[in-house]
Amino acid sequence: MKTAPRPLGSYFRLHLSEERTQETWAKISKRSRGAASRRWALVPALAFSLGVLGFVGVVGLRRSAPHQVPGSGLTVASEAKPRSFEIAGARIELQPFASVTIAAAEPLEQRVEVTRGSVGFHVVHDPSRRFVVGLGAVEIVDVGTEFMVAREGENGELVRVSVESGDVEVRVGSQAPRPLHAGESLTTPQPVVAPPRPEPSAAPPPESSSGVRSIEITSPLEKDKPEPDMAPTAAVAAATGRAVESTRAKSLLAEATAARQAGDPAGEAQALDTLRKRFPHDPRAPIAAFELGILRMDQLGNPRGALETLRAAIVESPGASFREDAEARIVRLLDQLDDAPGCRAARDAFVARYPASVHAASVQRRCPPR
Amino acid sequence: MTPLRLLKSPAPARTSDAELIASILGGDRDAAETLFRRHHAMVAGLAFRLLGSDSEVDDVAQDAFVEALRSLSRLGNPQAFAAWIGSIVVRVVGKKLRRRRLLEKLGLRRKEGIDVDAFVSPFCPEEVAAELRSVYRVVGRLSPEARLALVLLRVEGLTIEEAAERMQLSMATVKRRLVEAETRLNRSRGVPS
Repeated sequence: MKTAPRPLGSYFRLHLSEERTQETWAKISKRSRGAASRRWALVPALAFSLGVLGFVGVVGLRRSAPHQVPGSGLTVASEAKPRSFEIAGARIELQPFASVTIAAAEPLEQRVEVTRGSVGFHVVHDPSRRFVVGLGAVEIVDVGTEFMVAREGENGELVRVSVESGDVEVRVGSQAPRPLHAGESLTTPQPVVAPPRPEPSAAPPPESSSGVRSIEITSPLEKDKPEPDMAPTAAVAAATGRAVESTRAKSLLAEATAARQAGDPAGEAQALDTLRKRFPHDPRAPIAAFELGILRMDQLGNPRGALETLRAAIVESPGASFREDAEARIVRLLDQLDDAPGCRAARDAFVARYPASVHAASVQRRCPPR
Repeated sequence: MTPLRLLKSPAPARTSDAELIASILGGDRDAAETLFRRHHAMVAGLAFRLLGSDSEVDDVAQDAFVEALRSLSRLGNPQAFAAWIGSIVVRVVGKKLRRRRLLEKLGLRRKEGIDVDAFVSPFCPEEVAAELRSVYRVVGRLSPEARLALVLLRVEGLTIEEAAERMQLSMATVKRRLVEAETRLNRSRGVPS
């Protein structure tokens, strides 16, 4: 068969006038802005559908769980919506655009490889069968817990592990296993890739007995940890308290997510506000403040509230990745609130701090001249 | 004194998709329009070739961009925006094709013939036009998935792997759909399977 020199599709002609392009963009723009308000109308239908799906899901899982032994190589992926399934007594929750492969289902070991995105695991510990999550050369061995893992970076070369409750062991390449406890998170590159640039951090890096210099463990609850000479019962109580707090914070975040999916920005804002106020030491608190600021700014028409929460988000987590975006928004808000001196100061500080920022041009256009 | 910023060139050489996406996530609507304009022709063209007609192209483009802008924060690799929105287009078109098929089965919609000659370029070589005619003659009789697989592989020139990614299916499933489509295509050409 004769091969075409270029794709056949390139011989099609579709007339796209500027007028047509403009009209399409106007409709997209309008729909993007009005989506939230229109979604209100879908809330009852969505709630009903979720109820039915939940019922069907629970019945289905109850039927299939006892004998569920998936075959090796089975890949499960999510699209724009989260997806969850159960395997060997563990519940696996795929965030949007995530993918896992069931790498082994053997009598002594259940192994799941995360190939893309963020995935949550709720594992009931079975001492006779190890539950291992693999992310390339990084392994997380469950010791009975809830934890979230994510592949980040352009090619998934960074691995992030956050433990919600219980403990896990993290193995990086041939290094000795490293325990990770409730409330702690860890970010590490895959050992095969070049070591990452060291991030400036207020806190000194944790001591590494295993010699893995690239591992960064963060525990916002560090100061709440019991002193080493505390009585064991007090230590257990403190650990239990942390786990309970973490679970409550997590459920608030889930509530916020559900409200967003239902098109309820006020409900989402309330859940985020509660999270950051009731659990200020939770690792999710700064991002909750940042998200709340965006909500108040873009959807709730509350620029003063947005300003307060964006500033709080920066104070709570000065080294967070959202800081640049938060500061750019603060300049816009001050401009909107006619705080000319504040706007100029924030703008100049932003430009000095992030001269190559993608927001630099739009920030520089803000604030009335002196 | 004239503010210096008024004298600055407003547009940098070419902002990458990743930079535009970061701006959009920071609330910059202009960046959203720039991103739309950059990819609109590709999105509309893909929708056009998958649907085989111009009538619903703008609807698909709208749906795809609205969905993309809404879930932009979940895009893991912003530089892969083109491929990502391509997969959204395929999904949106798939929905439309399934709806069309249902309406046709219910007798609420008439099957449309696709007039390839009306939309191929006048510079299209005759053998290419003949190939396109034979492909579009059978697509209306295929299942939506088989149709998408056939157009993505034979018209768009994607590999099986790329088509599987766009269709969010496994490669094995895409191959099965392609076999289904090509069997029909060969039959229409009088070639034995």
